[in-house]
Amino acid sequence: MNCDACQDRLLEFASESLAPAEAELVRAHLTGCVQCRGMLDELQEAFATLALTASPVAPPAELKQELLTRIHADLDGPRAEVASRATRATVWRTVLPYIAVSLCAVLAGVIAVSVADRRVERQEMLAKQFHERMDASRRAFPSSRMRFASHGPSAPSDEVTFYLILDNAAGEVHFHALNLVQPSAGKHLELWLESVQGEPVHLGRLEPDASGTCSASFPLRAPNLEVARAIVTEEATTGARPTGPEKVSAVFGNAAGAP
Amino acid sequence: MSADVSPSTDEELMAAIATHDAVALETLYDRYSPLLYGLCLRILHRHADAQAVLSEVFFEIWHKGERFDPTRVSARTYLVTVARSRAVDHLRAAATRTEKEGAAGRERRYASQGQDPTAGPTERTILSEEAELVRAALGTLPEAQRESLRLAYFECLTHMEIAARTGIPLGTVKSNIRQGLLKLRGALAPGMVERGK
Repeated sequence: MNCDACQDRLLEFASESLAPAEAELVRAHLTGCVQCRGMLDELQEAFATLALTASPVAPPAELKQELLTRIHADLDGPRAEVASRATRATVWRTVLPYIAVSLCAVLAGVIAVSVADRRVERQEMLAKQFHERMDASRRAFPSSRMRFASHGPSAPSDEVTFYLILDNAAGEVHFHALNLVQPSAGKHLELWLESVQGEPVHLGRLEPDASGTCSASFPLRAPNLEVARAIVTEEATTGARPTGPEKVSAVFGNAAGAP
Repeated sequence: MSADVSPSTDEELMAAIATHDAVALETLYDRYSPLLYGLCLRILHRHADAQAVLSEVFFEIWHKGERFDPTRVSARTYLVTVARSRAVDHLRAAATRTEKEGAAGRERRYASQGQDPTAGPTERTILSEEAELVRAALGTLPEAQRESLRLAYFECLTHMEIAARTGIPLGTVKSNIRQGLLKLRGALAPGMVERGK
């Protein structure tokens, strides 16, 4: 994200109403840009004046007492921990062997069931987060300036699922995927755009984590490109054209952003 | 202890809190809890929610006070920003939880609060000079600017949601908010309006 794109979004970022996917991009830009951080600080000072228009209300007195008790417990915590550690150690030495034997028997049965359950739960959670992020991202970009492509089922599954947003105004491409296939040994994944004339445009390398999740943004150095498809290939080397097998692809929707 | 050896400015209190000075936190709480509690109530509407958020805010300040950078924003802005941010998080989490409850449930929830939560017996009105200046400045804004600011800051709506609710074009909503903010800031820092134009 460049400064212009960041500054376009700062007003909504400062009021925390920017879509999560865009907020992430702004946050990433701000970490390295003193100028935009300065503008954000100005906006936050300005927004904070609005808080003065809310009527001040004294909170209940017990709330302060609870807070102070919590803080003093926090301060005393490390000392209390050291004092009680010796007592706890003696008790544990006596009962631990019995507890360990019992737990092993129970755990063996539980683990087999819960591993499968957790896997399904995690898959559902990731799929839910993915679709929320995709919807938020699509809403965040004006349809007049973006193109959108997606691939994958709407229900949670093991299949590769990804979306790609081409932001023509900022000259950037944003990619997010789940269950992306891991490349073979000695090879890597590359992301490409294919024009309507069938010409490939290289975007960059994709590096999914162990679970196949991958988020990446790339500058688009081909202004006014009429895109037809987004393609992920597996390559041994990086060249101007893809030479390896196509792993997954998606067709871009019309100019209004519909796939 | 004489007053001049105790930390007194907000920034000095924040620096002391970063070294885990509980007295400094208590002083800051006394100074800012009415403002922050009022802000949380305005956003969340419910006393229980506002109390939970206020407590978390000060505990966060206690644990992460070193994150405050006095070269960037004032301590008051930092506190207000953290409080509003946590209130927004709370609001969105609650909205997700009660999504199935529907509009009728939402109406019931607000109705159960009875009268204006800021008008209860514990209310303590502190109209500082700055607050009066900002309120006066807010009163001079065109209605569309004032409403856009209210919806963005206290209702936590996105610009697109504000446009949809008010029927004002999106670009005008953005412009209204930006101009409104500049005028409010100008009320506290003369000269800023001119610089911002």
